[in-house]
Amino acid sequence: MRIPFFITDSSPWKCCLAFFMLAVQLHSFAQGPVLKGTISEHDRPMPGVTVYLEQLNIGTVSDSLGKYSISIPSGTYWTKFSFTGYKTVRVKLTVHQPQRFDVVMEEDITQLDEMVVNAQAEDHNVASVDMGVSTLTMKTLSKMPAFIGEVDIIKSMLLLPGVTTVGEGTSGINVRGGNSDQNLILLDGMPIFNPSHLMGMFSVFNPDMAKDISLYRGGVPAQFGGRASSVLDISVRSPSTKRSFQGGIGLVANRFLFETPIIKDRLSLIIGTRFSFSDYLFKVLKSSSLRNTKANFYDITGRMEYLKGSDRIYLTAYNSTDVFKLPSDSISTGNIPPATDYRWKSNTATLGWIHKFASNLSLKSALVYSKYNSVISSHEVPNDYDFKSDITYKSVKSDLSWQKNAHQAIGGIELSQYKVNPGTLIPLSDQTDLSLPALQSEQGTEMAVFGSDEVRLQRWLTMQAGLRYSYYFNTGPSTVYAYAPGKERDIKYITDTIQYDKHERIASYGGLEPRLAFNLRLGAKSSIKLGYSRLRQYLQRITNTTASLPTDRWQLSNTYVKPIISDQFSVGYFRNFSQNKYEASVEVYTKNIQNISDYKGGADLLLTPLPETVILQGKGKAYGLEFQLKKNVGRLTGWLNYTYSQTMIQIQSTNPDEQVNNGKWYPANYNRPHSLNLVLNYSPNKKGITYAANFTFSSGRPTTYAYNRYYMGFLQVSNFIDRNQDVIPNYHRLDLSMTIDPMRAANKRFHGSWVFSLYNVYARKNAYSIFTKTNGIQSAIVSSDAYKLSIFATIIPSITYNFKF
Amino acid sequence: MRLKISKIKTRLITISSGILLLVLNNCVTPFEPERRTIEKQMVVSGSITDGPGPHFISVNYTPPYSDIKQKSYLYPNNARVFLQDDAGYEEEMIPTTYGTYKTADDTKGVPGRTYHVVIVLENGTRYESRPERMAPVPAIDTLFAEFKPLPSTDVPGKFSVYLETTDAPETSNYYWWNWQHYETLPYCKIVALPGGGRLAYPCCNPCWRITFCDGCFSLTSDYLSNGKRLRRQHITDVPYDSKDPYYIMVKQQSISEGAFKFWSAVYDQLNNTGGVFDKSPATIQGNIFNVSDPTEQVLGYFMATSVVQRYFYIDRNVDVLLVRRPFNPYSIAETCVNCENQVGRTNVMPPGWIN
Repeated sequence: MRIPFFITDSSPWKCCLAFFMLAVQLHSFAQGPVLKGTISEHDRPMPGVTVYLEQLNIGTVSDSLGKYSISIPSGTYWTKFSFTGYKTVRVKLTVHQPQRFDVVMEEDITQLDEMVVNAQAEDHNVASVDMGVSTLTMKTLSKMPAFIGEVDIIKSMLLLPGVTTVGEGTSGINVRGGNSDQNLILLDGMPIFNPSHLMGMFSVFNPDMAKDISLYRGGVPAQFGGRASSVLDISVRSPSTKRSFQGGIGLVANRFLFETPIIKDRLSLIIGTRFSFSDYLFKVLKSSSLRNTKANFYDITGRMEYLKGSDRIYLTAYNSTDVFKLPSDSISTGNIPPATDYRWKSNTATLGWIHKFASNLSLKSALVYSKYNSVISSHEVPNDYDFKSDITYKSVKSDLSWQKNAHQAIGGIELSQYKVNPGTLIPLSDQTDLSLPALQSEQGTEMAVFGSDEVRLQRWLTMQAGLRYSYYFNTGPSTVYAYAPGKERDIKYITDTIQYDKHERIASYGGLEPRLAFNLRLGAKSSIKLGYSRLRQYLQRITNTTASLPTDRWQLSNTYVKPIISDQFSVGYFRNFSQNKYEASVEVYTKNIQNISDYKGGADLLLTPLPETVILQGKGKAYGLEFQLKKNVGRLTGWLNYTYSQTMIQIQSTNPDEQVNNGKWYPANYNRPHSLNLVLNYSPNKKGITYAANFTFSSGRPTTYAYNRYYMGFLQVSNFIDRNQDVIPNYHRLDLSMTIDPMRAANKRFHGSWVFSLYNVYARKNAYSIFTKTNGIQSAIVSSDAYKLSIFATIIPSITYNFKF
Repeated sequence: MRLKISKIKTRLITISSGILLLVLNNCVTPFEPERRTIEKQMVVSGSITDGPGPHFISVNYTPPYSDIKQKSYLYPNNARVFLQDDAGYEEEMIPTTYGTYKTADDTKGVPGRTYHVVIVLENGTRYESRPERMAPVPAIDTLFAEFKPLPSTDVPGKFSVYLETTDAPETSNYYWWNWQHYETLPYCKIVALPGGGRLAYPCCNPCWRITFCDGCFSLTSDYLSNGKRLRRQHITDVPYDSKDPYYIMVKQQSISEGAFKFWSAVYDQLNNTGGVFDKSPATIQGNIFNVSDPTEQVLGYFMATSVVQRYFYIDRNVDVLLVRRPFNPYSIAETCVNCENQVGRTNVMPPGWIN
């Protein structure tokens, strides 16, 4: 049958699909009877279950309500229903007319102890249109060696191809040449602005509460937008129908999780918390100035779900809090006031509703609220104050997904509002003399419409065509300054001030964001994939430190600060071996980034009332090659990947003071051309012992060395000429772990397991930075020399105990 | 206050690096990276103040990175240096040693005037500074010290010295402070004797040792406290290693916005901890340029500042046990040595000195 594939029945998406589709006549997959049904577990729908028809080599995945539907030629087929941690159901089905087949899945306790990398179809690597997408289950993560025993979602991403960091102990990740603020980090759809606890040593997500984690390095689907580089989508676990407790005791943090039904088969709740008692880490220090430091954090994640008929309503709330207090007697350099503390907090909530109109049509709507605030407090009278800054995000999003025959379509709208308060200084006592001229708060609105269809055009060709249109504007109340044309953007060249009232529109940006992906099957075992995507980002973090701080300032696009736009092309070859036991892929990408930001040398960003005078915007380009080999089944599983990449920035201006490195291309702070990761997991038998090893290598990040020094009086000043022209030494590290997770006896409720791990096994003193240190400030001649700073410069053992009952 | 929050940020950084460092067994080891060899660059530093002359400007070239110990030995020969102001005053400065030039003894800057220097090399290349306005500086209202115990037996405490001054009502005032400590110097020369022991030659005339530190400056802008009293500006910490009064001379200077940016960048460089939370190092822009080739990078800064100073005796007689370190006695020579004015030493009694 020859049909224009977008003109189908009275789909509500006809218009939506039409506007991004080329009116090309294409073949659709051979039509036949539809096999459909619901997959459940304890009367609860199970999303994500793979349905696979063996002889046809095709399959599908159940949706969020556990429904699946697939159209197949008439015949008799072995059909397999599988999901990680559940017993696979394999049945012979004869289908000659539309047929319904419901499946009840059962948890497989023995299988739970085996390493499973993902919960997708066995040939997902080759069959899907996904490129640059990695999905990890918590089960995989929990078996990997963890730093100080804390399973860390963000740090684990560093073992994926194309993901690097500026240094150990920092929480940001750099994905395919993107800055760390170009990652959209979503926890159940709620954006998280600062993902770090303890200044970046740990990330803020409770591993027990996460279901799975997807990182889109390329091929970002049309329903996501707002960041230029990647999407890290963390989904929160749904509460189970049985009451249970679980927890863990570690060196840094303790975890507790509780789940229970409230109304049987209707309403259930899961709540998980994690809290540190890391103060003791400071107590053992010799330095009195640090001994009384208080550094504590906690996070709490809760999700409540209500199910009735074709409706599912959920409420997820999340809070993460860090308190970092310095003792009042810890004056290290006199110039800094004592008794200072720092607090940062994320509060987010989302209320969502999924309604099923039909087995193949569902509507998902969500309200999202996310607030991040940070406070710096000084308690030194008379200069005592709180410096508070915050960012508030509110959004409403609604999308409709529809499946029919060879189509899987989604379309929707999203409306987001941002409010950024860069900082307010609040005196804490009458004696305080400090006052800060107000830093203007900023308001912005982002609207997006999106639609996407994944369609099997031929047996050998699948296309995912998506389009997003985003429109952004910032509004008053605000004062915008005009600068003399041709001059440096500086306070001294302000020629005019323009006042904007509340809600008055100031500057607007917007445009199309096409997302296209193709999968060309070269047979059962291999495929070639092509992808293109454009992403726009209207909010960025401004920081000129190498890693970001919890107190960093955020900046919305405005008259002067343009949105970041990135275009990525990628092509990859995917191949599976030995009945999908091994997966291999090679991907090549190139990326162009417009309006990437850098800063004037040594600029102070936190307190400036005119950020546009220190932000410089230019061009970025990144390209790379990612190779990955993965083994998913068997006693030994794991992966090996190698990435070659380059990320360069160019800041050009007619004004020499607004250029970096004289307008030449220079490497970004996080440019690490070579990186290699090896992750291995070995379960020798069914006794529940797993050994795991990670090895990671990456070439050193760029830095700037002084090429000469000069005297100002008796003070030696180092002279740094061009940014990022040198590199620090290479980084490599091996970690090992052993998990003892004895099989749970069927009649026993309590279950305990141990994780022992060793971080940096051969105690390499990896360079964290090479820096110029000034020696003997107190002596007559103040000299400076280069030093290597290593942290985690030794082997770090740890032990964690987990329990469940 | 000077980017006080930034300072706090620096401290946060220092301490957070500290956590990483101390808890997790960090190490900082000397590391000599491969550095590119680059052409020598011109360095100009110096200032004109409203204090008594002479005032000095030095004109040097940068040595190769590893040869920095040869302080100031590279300099252009036969350069001519001129000091000019916006009222048409011009003075050619007199060469002294090692590329240093001085004004006449009676040259004195006038607050409110704008100054700049012109340097003409032997080959005719002309360098100039951007004009620097000498802003007036308010008096130091008060200096005081507070005792803070320290958990050390050698130095069981310290005295934090604070300054207060009143900012002028107009905005964009910048302050720069430094200090000098004077103590009487009984011996003008000490030599090590063969076979151990030391021989000390008493000074023939009154002599003072000057402890100073070009890296110990502090600075602030009136950004957070325009027109108000700048309170509790921390100047330095004095060790509690003796019960004798401690003489300190604190200098307060007004500096221009450009000089403030320059010294802030130097300050950041001095307080760099090597953590990834440090600002990325960058060229510190000076205010000197090559008139015919503005792309040439010239290092250093020429300042025009108004100066006030005030001395203060810190009473170190606090009720905290002080264990005196054993003192290794000298043998006293029979002849004396003259006390000459030199770096770190003077025979001129400091103002307010009480014997």
